[in-house]
Amino acid sequence: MTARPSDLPDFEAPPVAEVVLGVKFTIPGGLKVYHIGIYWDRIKSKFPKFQEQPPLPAQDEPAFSFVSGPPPLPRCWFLDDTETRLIQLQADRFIHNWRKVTGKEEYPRYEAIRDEFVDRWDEFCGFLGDQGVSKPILNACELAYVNHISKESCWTEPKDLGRLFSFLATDMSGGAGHTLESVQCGLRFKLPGGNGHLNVSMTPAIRKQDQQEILRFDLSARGAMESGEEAQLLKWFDGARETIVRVFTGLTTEEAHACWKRKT
Amino acid sequence: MMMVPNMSITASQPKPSPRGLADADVQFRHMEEPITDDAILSAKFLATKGNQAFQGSPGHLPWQRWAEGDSTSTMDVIPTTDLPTWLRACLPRLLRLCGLKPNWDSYGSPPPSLALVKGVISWLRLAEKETLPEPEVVPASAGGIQLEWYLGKRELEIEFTATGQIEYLRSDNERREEKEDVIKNLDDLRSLLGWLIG
Repeated sequence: MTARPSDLPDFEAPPVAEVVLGVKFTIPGGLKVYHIGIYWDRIKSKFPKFQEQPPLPAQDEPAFSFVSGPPPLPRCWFLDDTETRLIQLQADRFIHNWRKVTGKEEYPRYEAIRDEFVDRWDEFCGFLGDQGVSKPILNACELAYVNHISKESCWTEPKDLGRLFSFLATDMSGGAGHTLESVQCGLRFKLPGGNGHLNVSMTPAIRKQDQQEILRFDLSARGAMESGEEAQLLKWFDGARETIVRVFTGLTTEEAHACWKRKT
Repeated sequence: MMMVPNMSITASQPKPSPRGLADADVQFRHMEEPITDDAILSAKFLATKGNQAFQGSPGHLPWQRWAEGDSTSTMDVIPTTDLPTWLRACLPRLLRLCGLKPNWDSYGSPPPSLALVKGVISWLRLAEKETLPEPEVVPASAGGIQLEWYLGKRELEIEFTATGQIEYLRSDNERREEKEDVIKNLDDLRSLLGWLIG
């Protein structure tokens, strides 16, 4: 398994609810709908459940589209028995998610999820080769951490969030005793070395699973791939992960760290 | 009317139809055209048909779009930003409806889908009525959701069906009047909610 950098902040009970590793690619000649079925047959023993979802839109295309040719492939979800792990596949994306379903699952850590992604991606590329499909040309990648900070875990009212996030004021009353109703914001950072951007968003929400009020705190890094080599891809993921963990730690306070049982 | 500069999919104008919004189409169109609230709603609500999520978050700020519209996250959460207090308060009850067992009414009805809950929230959020009381939230047959308000002598029931129709029944017990019809657009909804508290 990939080693964790020793100086990276570590939490015993981080609020992470989902980790996403994904790539965007082009396949010369394209992926056809029948490939999806054959691919599922290949992985069905590990991912026996299937769902169709609308395709994710392209990230950086002009703000209008023309419809021509056959309809776009859907986004297919292949889920394992526990539904904590799933693969999302569409014509230009391959995404591996780990997520909490019951809320009681232990976070397996980035290193394990990354290794799972590598296994699944290699398997997918192998499958394409077997089908005589051209090798995918990688053009972008994404690493996202979705944190659910539950109400009652370390905050009860929106004004408490000033004690958890270092970029918010400790006095969240607007200076005149007003009642803060909700907090929502977005931040954007450059990844080191011009490797893309890290988008951070904070959104109040209610979770379907237990109808709990949460603060969803997302850190999502995206970057372009130039060489398309797997070694470069993994280096990008590791670098993005390090930035995400350091930014997460920097944007949160010691009080929040204590709540999430910071170890190092 | 609002401008939507960065959506990926928008809605056509709703077509007048005796079946309400169910016949409108979601289609690609140039993004710089002004989009009406009704068109957005028809796209959002229609997208609930077939249990699909609406792609793109019209009128939302960039970080919301990042968090929702093109997110690769697969977890089911409902953002509560911009929701009036009464709607935020009844959201857990709306979500609990999704957990009903199939055939909960012994007539073969499925539970309401999460997509329908999202559609209901979209309509009620855009109605922009801040001062309503909390409604009763009940499941309706065939996977629908019904909201019921009882305010003095006035009663209002709104049913969002799983097929994309919105129907209402309003009663004025003082005047002994009842009316039922289909809600065709956002103005109809605003007008009804205004009648309730008026």
